[in-house]
Amino acid sequence: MPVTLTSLDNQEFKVDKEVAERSILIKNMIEDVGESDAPIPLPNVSAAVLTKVIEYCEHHRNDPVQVQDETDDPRKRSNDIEEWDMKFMQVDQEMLFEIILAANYLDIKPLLDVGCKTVANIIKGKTPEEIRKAFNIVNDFTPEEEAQIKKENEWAEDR
Amino acid sequence: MANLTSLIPPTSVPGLAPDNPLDVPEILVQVSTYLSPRDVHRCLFVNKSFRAVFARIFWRSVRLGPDQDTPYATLNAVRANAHLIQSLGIVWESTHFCAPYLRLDFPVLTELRIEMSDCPYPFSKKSPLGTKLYAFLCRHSTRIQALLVAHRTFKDNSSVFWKSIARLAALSTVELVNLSLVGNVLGDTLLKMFSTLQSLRLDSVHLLELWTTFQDNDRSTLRKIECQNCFFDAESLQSLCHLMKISADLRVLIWGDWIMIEKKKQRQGTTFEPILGIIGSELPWNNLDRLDVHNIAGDTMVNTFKAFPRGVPNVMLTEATMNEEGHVTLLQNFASNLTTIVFEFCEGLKSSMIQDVLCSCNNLLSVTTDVSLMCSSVMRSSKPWACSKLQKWAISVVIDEEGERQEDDDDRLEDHYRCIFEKLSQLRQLRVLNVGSLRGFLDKRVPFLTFRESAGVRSLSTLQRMQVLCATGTGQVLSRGDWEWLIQTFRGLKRVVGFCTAEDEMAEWQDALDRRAIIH
Repeated sequence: MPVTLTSLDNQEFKVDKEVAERSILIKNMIEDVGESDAPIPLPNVSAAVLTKVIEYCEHHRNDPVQVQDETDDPRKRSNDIEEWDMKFMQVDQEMLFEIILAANYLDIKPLLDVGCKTVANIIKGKTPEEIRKAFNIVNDFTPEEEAQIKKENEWAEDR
Repeated sequence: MANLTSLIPPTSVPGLAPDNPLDVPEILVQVSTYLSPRDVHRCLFVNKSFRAVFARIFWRSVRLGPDQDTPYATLNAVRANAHLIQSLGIVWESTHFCAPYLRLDFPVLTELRIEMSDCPYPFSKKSPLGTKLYAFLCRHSTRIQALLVAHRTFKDNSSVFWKSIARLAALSTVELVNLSLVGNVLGDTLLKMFSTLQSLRLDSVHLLELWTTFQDNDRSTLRKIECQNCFFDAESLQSLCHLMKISADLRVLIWGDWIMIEKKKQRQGTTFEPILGIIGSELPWNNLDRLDVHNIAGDTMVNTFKAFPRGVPNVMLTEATMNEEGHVTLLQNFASNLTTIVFEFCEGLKSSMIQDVLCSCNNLLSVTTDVSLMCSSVMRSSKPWACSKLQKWAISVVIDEEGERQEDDDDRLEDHYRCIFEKLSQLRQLRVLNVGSLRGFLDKRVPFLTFRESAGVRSLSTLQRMQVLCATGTGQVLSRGDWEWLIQTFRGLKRVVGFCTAEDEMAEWQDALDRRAIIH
């Protein structure tokens, strides 16, 4: 049965229920309300972003439930991104950020994971200045604060 | 419509939602899980909001110790960030070094790891170290949930330390490594804690004269017991088994090499029999979902597997002696549940047994074994593998034939390879593959075999999820063309191990794999 989703800008998207239910938020809403033809409003997600999110959910509609990696240590989690996902994430930074926010809001864990991995891959190997530049972040530390942080953490520079 | 609108979470009100995920601490925390400690460290210096999130991650776990290889946090730095430290490791070389840290308060400390080196009586009441540690534990007694104590040359029967451990009201995990405990010091502690403790690990512990008896109507909360390389006398082993017996919620049991000490003689315990003998038919392990047994003999294995009322999904057997009866019992009891099976150094394990596992266990996700898939008819069997969801295949595919070889043997061998690779190519979820060694051919076709399309890695192009590919000991030479094919075919490929490539070329290709994993 198809489900209708309404974006922030009032565009309607008809998708299969199993595709929509990759979002835990939508799945729970459907379960709570029961069978209904009423469109599901998603006031946080624009039509452009929702199009991308639906594309992701369509592609991964048959994915099995993720199994836990051998180690429970989150620090040892794999940074691998599958080829399709990698291409899917080749968007400008504004869209990347919007996809991550939408995945977080709609509770689509695998999409949020891919988004976070993509951001982590941008950060990797960069100096603080390069990270600021990559994400257009303003350095709001005073010189004194910066010196203090450096002093507290200099022991770990080669860690 | 009205119903659905009312279900929208309050954060979704337009205008209130964040427009930058880097402003959402939960998302930044998730990003941090994919970063190395060095990258997390650099993030501390980006801006205030990054610092607020990354300082919590960076300072969550700290190890202090005068170790030349690993820099340790200075006292001032630890003092300034003590409110963030959840896990504290102390490598105890000298009281002089450790004492100042033990005077600090750690308001969110939940895990304490103490690794001692050469203090002969570190926990004695008279030792300055013992009193400081005792005071530290008392001050943090309501917070510490996990405790590890390891010692290189420890022999201390002082009960002061154990009494202080027994005071840790929130303690749920205890790990004891390289300790020699004589008398009831541990027993009394366990007795006080068995209604809160969830996990107990003993590694290389001498346990003697532990005569604690639990009542049959006692109930331990232990969910995990790990016991490896330990020495016991009969009383101590019995006490430990009694603890298992009253652990109705036990989920993980790891039981490794152990030595039974009988008076002045030492006898190596190579079986699981005493445990079963002591516990008898009263096994309480209905909830067990992981069983690791190291050093177990065939007959005992039959009894062990028969003893479990229902299947255990994860089984690891190391240095076990397999026999047919044990194998059949394993499959009868576990086939429908098994998700992970590991056989290592298992004497008597045959390729037909592996074939049975692959054909019977339809929920299997990971199989690891060092067994050789001998040149036998089982691999040519048309019986399909049931494990279509398999994600990890780490198995030796060695075909070594003994005795005189016939001229047509090579063709026959190639046929076996074709059967194996054909079945592998159907495992669409496979992420890790060790194809093992390919040997046994008389003619010169071997170095090229793994890249033949009919019976080799090139026939696996359907396995697009492949991340790790290994062919240890094959002597297979990868040409430039082979590398290009690998990189193009397996887009998620991260590591290639065990093939022969010139050293500088290997670095070049590994670089190519690494570069691809990083999107700028």
